[in-house]
This record gives sequence, structure tokens and C-alpha cells, in this order.
Amino acid sequence: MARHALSKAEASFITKLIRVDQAGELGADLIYRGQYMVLSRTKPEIEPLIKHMWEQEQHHRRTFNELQQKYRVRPSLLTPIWKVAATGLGCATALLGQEGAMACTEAVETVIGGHYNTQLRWLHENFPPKEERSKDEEITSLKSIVKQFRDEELEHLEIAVENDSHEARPYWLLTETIKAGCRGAIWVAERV
Amino acid sequence: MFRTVRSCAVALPTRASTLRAYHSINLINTKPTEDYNPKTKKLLDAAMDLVPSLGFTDQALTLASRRLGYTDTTPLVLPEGPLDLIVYHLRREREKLAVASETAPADPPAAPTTPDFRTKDQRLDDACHELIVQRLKGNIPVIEHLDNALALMVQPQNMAESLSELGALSDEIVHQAGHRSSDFDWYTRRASISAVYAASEVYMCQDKSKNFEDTWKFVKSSLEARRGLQEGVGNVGQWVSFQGIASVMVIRSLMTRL
Repeated sequence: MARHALSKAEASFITKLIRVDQAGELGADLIYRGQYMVLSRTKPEIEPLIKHMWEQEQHHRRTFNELQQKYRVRPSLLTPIWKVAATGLGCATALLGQEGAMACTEAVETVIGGHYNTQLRWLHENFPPKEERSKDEEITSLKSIVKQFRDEELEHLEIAVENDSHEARPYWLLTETIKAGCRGAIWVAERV
Repeated sequence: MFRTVRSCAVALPTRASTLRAYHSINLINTKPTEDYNPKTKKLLDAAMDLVPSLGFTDQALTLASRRLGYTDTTPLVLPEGPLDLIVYHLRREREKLAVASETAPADPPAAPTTPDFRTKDQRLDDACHELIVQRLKGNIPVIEHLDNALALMVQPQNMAESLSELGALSDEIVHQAGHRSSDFDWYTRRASISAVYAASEVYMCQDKSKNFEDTWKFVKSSLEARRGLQEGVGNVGQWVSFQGIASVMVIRSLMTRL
């Protein structure tokens, strides 16, 4: 494989990208697990829907775990906290009912979709397709992973809206709190 | 005279390249000496040859630069002098571990004739033991000056640099031993290897046994003690979760109407 030089800033961005996305997918996996635990008992009719989204998140988490280990990026130091917070969020919103769970999904996936988009934009700006080094297999695969995952997260967002996420009460308070929490978590996980 | 000082300092920056190859291993730097300016690296290599007799000192650097035909002011590119030399020694030895693993034969070892009864943790510890010993052997040429080096490294103003080197070394060891983790044990594993390594290095300074046999035994027993502790924590966790599940079951059975 041809080796192409990465500047320190680029290496540092990719390191952060892998760390924050890995922590994020860990969180997503556990949110859906929490929702599944509750909703599979209280609302068996939407169980397959939750399971479909949960399985996609598990695949995302495995993919980023593999990248993190391959590139020797340290995982987020706050991993235990993310685990507790994500499971708690999943269970709590599912206890509010289907609408609460879907509003949580809507809020989380809005932030995550935007976050993946920002990363994808950065990758395209710094590795434009016509440049020789952008043809490196590792760069193209990173781009396609981020792109595919963004699309899947936005698919979850659509599913949530179609399944009455707007009916949740108090809708604004719930979604905005969760969005703010997600943005804060992203900011922290990139650094610690 | 002053012109010479300035031109040397400009001509020989300590760090040359800010570019790294984009390659799986190179998001973190496993070849730290490649970051040095080639001339600085040559000077440090020559000085390291003199360390066994002169120690990690300014004299070693000055004499090395004279031998290479540089001016006496050349070592000024290393403002910390002895500390820069020590850090170079640490980086070079760490790099040797990385290079050794790359050049190791890629084909898998032949199937063992006796079944391997070791647990996963034991296998990992054995691999770590081998790597720590391999790294400590790199200290043998400079063993007489190792205590001075350690004393300099633990001074408050040098702690950050020493600790980050220790962290990089334990990361290299744990990674090469085959530990892969995406969880919090990424940190605990590296912390325990760092602790074992640091303790073993101090032990090695005072070791008078033949071929440092006692140090290798010390490494082994420290790793075993760590493993005992880890297993203990795991057992307590298992006991707590068992008790938790059992109490939930008891409460559920009490709440069920017969």
C-alpha cells in the first residue's frame, strides 16, 4: 500500500473522530438496549422496529471498535459514565411510553446525523477525491463508513418521526434537553 | 563566535518532520526517533555510545559532537542536555521493541506439542513479561548510570515527559502482547504494566545477581500479584451481580400471590 503523509493536525482530527464516534456508538447501542428492555415488555408491537435500529447500532459500534483497535486510538476515559448514562436515558425515555422513546431517538439522531455530516465534510475538504492521497484505501473506507452510518442514523430519525415522536409531552423540553446533553457528550468525548 | 552559535541553532532544529505516514500503526508514533533531525539523531546516537563510560552528561554530548566534527556549540540544539539524552535513550529502546515485532517472522508458530492450559490472562501476562524483560535488557549497557537517569526523570519539571514516555512504552507492550480493548480496561491494563515496569526498573538498578536473574523474577512475581488483584476484583463483581439477581428473584417471589 502506498503510504501518504498525514499532517499532525490531520492525524489528531482522525484520532478524535474515531474516539468520539466509538463512544457515541457505544452510547447508541446502550440507549436502544435500554429501550428494548422496557418496550419489549410494555409495547410488544413495536419490538421489531426497535430491534431493527438496535441491530444497526450494534454493527456501528463493532465497526468503530475495530477501527479504534486497528489505529491504536485510546477509547474515551469516561466509558463507564457513557455506559450508565446511555442505559439510563434509554430506559427512562422508554418508561415515558413509545412517544417518549421516539422523541429521544429523534433528538439523538438529529445531533448525531449533523455530527457525522460535519466529519464527512471535513474528510471531503481535506481529502478531495481528485487528490492522489485520497485514493488511499484507508481514507476511502473511512469516508464510506461515516457516510453509510450517517444515512442509517437519519433513517432512524425518520422512523422516530413516523412513529409519533412529536406526540411526546413535554416534547420541546425533552428533545432539547437530550440534544444539549448529546452535544455536551460529544464535546467531552472528543477530548477525554 | 556568536554567528556560529546562531547558525548552528537554526541549522539543527531538534524536530524535523511534522508529517507522518497514514498507516494503521502511525496514528500514534511508534518510531519516535524518526522525528529527530538526521544530524541531531546522529549526534545523539554518538553520545549514546559514550554513555556507558561518561553517563547521561553534557560531556558525552560534547565529546560526541567533537568526534563527529561538529562545533562545540552544536549540543546547544538540545537545551536540556542530559535529559534530552535520557529521553532519546527511552525513545530509541521503545522503537527497538516496535521494530523487533515488525521484523519478527510472520508465519504462525508451529502447533504446540503439549496442550496450552493457560488462561487468556496468563497468556497475556507471559507475553508482557517477555516484552518487559526485552525492554529492560536495553538498559544493561547503561546500567551504571540508570539510577542517575531515574533521579533526573522523576524531578517535578521532568515528570510530564517521563510519564508520557512511560505511557507510550506500556501502550507498546500491551498492544504487542495482543491485548485489544475498547473499554475501560484499556486504561487499567496499561496502568498496571506501567507500575510493574517502573518498579522493575528501580529494582534493576540495585540488582547484583548474575545476568539480572533476580530482576526477571521480580517482573514475573509483580505481574502475578497484579493478576491476583484483577481476578479478585472480577470475583467480587461476580458475587455482587449474583446477589443482586438473587435478591430481585426473592422480592419477585414474595410479591407473587399464590
